[in-house]
Amino acid sequence: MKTIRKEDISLQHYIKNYVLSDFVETDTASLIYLEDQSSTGSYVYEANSSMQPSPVSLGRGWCYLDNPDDVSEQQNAVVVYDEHGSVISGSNYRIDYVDGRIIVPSQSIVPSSVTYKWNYVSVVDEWSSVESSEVPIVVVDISGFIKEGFQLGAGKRVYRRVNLHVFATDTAERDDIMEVLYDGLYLKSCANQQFPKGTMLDWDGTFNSDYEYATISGSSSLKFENVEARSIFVPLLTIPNREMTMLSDLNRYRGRVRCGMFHWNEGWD
Amino acid sequence: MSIKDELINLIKVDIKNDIVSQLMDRFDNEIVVFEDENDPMRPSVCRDEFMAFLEETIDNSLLVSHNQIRFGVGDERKLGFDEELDADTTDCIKILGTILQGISGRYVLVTTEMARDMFPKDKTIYLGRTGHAYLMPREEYNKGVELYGWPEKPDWRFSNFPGIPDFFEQIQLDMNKYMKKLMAG
Repeated sequence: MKTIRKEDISLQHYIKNYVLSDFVETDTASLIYLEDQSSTGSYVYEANSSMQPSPVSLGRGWCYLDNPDDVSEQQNAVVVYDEHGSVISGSNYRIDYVDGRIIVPSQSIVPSSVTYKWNYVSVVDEWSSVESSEVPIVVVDISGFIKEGFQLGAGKRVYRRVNLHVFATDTAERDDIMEVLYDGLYLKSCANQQFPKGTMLDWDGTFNSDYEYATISGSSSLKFENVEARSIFVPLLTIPNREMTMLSDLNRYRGRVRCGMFHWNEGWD
Repeated sequence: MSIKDELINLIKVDIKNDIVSQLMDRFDNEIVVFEDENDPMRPSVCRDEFMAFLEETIDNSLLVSHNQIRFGVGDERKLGFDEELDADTTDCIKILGTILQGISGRYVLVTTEMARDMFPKDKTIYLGRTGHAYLMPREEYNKGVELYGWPEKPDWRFSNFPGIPDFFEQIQLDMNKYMKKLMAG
């Protein structure tokens, strides 16, 4: 994995799990057995949630940490119940945090409902993903970089431009998210993680039990500077009054938080 | 000519030309390359108008007082970056303002000329090019195609375009060059 990708993932992890930690909701939903997704030794149940936006829409998902600083899988954010309302021990199932599913190894365990925390704000890394999710959405975009020396000999200061694009459901929510993002960046820094054994979630949405917290050796943390926020208005959506035309909800309440993100690197690499 | 006058002259000519030249390079390399050559309102059609707009905003924003000289480039209210759109803007400037801000979703660009065909009974449609173009979501336009026989139109090429947020901020000015010219003058 290249440095910029690690920085991108580190930043996304920070935005989603630290900065936006106040935007976490709790839901209780019944579990529906998915026969076509199941096989011997792997019985899949999906949460039947009526929440809007969908907790499993792109960039959201169930919370896999109890606290932002944790490096191991949650113990309290997700609780699974059987048909009698008794709690099923976490050792009896695995959780797909991306799709909101419970996977049990035996038919003798029958999960019936689940109470879980989920991320209300979708965090995605591509502009094109906005259309595939539901507002509110934050797009994390690292758009350019400059590398320059900072001492005699080896070592450099790596500066990247960051844009956080906010798409919200109304003005109040947009302003809330923008201010939370601003405060989460202003005079703050986040860990520049190495991810030696992958990210916290595996490819199948389950928690990566091999995950190891480590920062990049010889690199400082990722520091933020020159943070600024502003609302965005799309001029071509300011339209002449005509009954046939409807405004796009997606672009109606937008904002952007911009900053520089930099770190110092020792050595010649 | 006093050094202050020479400085003002330098801003009005050399610095303005350098700023506009750099911005027009970005316009050509980062906007025009994505345009639909069959679109009658494609950005390259607006090139001269945009260039004049940039020059005009530098001229209009130049402020000289006893201890400072200030100037800027671009007009946020005409580009539509502000909450209130300047009524004196044009379709071209609105279109470019939208491209710079970026937009998510699929849209059809409705220009004044198109609107006349789409809404033949609407006599309020302005006949000039004064900022009346707008974007219609693709689903809405498709309904019009079915119900009213509007002509088939492709998606606006800048649908789902992430914008160029730093368009006005990456300008490099060679201060040494200007200082040398000032000293020589």
